Amino acid sequence: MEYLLNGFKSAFELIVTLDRGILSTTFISLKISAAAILASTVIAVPSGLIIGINKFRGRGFIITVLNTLMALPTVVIGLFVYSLISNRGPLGPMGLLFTPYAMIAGQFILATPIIMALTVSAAQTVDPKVRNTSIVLGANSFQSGLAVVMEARFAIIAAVVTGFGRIIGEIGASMMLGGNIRGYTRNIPTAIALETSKGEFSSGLALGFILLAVALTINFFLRFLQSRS
Amino acid sequence: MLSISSLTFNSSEIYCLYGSNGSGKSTLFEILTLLKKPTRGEIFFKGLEVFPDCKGVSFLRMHVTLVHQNPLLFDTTVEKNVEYGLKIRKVPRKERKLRVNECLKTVGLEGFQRRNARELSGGEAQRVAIARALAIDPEVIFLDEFSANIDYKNRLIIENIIKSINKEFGKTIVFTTHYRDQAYRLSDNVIHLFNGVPVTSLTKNIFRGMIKKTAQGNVFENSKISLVVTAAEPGEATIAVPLNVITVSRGLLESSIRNCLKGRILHITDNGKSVDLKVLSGEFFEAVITKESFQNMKLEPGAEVYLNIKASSIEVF
Repeated sequence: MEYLLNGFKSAFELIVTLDRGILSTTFISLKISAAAILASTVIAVPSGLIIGINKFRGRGFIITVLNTLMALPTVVIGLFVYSLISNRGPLGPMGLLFTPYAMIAGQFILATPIIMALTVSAAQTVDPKVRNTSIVLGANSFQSGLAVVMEARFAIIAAVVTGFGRIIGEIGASMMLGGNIRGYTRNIPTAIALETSKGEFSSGLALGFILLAVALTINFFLRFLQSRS
Repeated sequence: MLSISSLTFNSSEIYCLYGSNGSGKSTLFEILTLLKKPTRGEIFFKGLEVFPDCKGVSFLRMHVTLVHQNPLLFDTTVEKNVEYGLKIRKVPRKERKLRVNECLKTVGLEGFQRRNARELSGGEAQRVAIARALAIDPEVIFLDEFSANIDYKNRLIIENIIKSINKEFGKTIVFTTHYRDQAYRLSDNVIHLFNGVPVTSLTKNIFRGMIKKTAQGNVFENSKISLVVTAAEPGEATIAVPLNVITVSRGLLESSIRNCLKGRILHITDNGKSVDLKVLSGEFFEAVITKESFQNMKLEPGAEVYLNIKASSIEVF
């Protein structure tokens, strides 16, 4: 019990004293996940809206595939990207392995189906009259699409937040693609794994608290937005 | 399925598409606003082809709007709903605000700007939707079943709004309804839609005027005719005299019938077993008699006849 209490105490001290190692890891983690979520959002939200609003052949199949991809294990994504960017892979000459870019790619693949599938659901719940109403008021296709986005905005924000929550704490792809290089590709989950294996319980715990704090902040923000609706 | 050989709406008039549920009224509106495309045929707006050639579509979108049955208001404030079409047209903010205030005043919802549109009653929501349509200053407004799901009070308010929009701003208004009284009360041009086909009015001899209380009882009057009617309150009214309640005679009849109008036959149409007569008696009346009566009375164009109409047979709207 004392061991646990000491761990908590040391973790608290590391956070309050703004330990450089902890700060650097947190910053890298946020930077990589933010870049990945931004790229995913740009691709997944418009695609999800197109799939959700329009009816076309093969739509059901695409939605089923997206739902399946939501459960994709992170190590499988790591393995897949690794096979592409390792020296023997087709993208090997680009030298992406063990760089933040490789981690962003992995996290992008992880978040995209989640955001896309949840955006499809969000678009499907929007009353079809939204689009027709905007059209009869003079909106073009893009503007009527925006009207749908506005109606589904909270569900879409929730989709993006869910995607971010999934990638900020993932370890499999980050470890395989980033290599856990200190100050370069070491993010919070890989750092926790390393510190814990070294017996540095307090550092692991401090990073765990930060991870929880990030998740909590995002969820408070989401709740704030929803309450304003 | 709609099957319309030709249908024209003149500007600055109020039209009503009257028909039962499923007669194709809403579908016709969706086709006229190109939310749905017809399988064949042509649609023109102010001389510009909008279907099948899409040359005039953007012009149509800018000048024609539709207020759906149970209209959808965007999940935001009343003000943002009403200014939506103006934003699309890139109208400056200051001008938008003025226009929103003006339109909300027209529909009697001043001070509703900051209200959440999704928290309004059915009647208020309908009025906001009309204000939103009016804000873009369209030439034509299609109103789909605006009376559905709103109370009587709001129904009358909206009817007055429609009249004033037409009168003050000269907008062409086309609305659908399945209330016959509303159709004739609001519109001079009622188009009956039956199973997707526009049909000639089932009730002819429609007249507008005032009902006054007199010693004889309630009397419907306009500048051309005067008819005793029953069971009606004094005030503005529209009456309908169904074809089959008019008894045509060459001379005055001794009977309990209270309305005997003298007139002159203008037109005779032989329909085989029956004959249709068009008679001028102040207003133009249409009547139908059997071939036998026609032959017995030896009727001919220009002949003087009496139209005998029971007061209780006249429908008052």
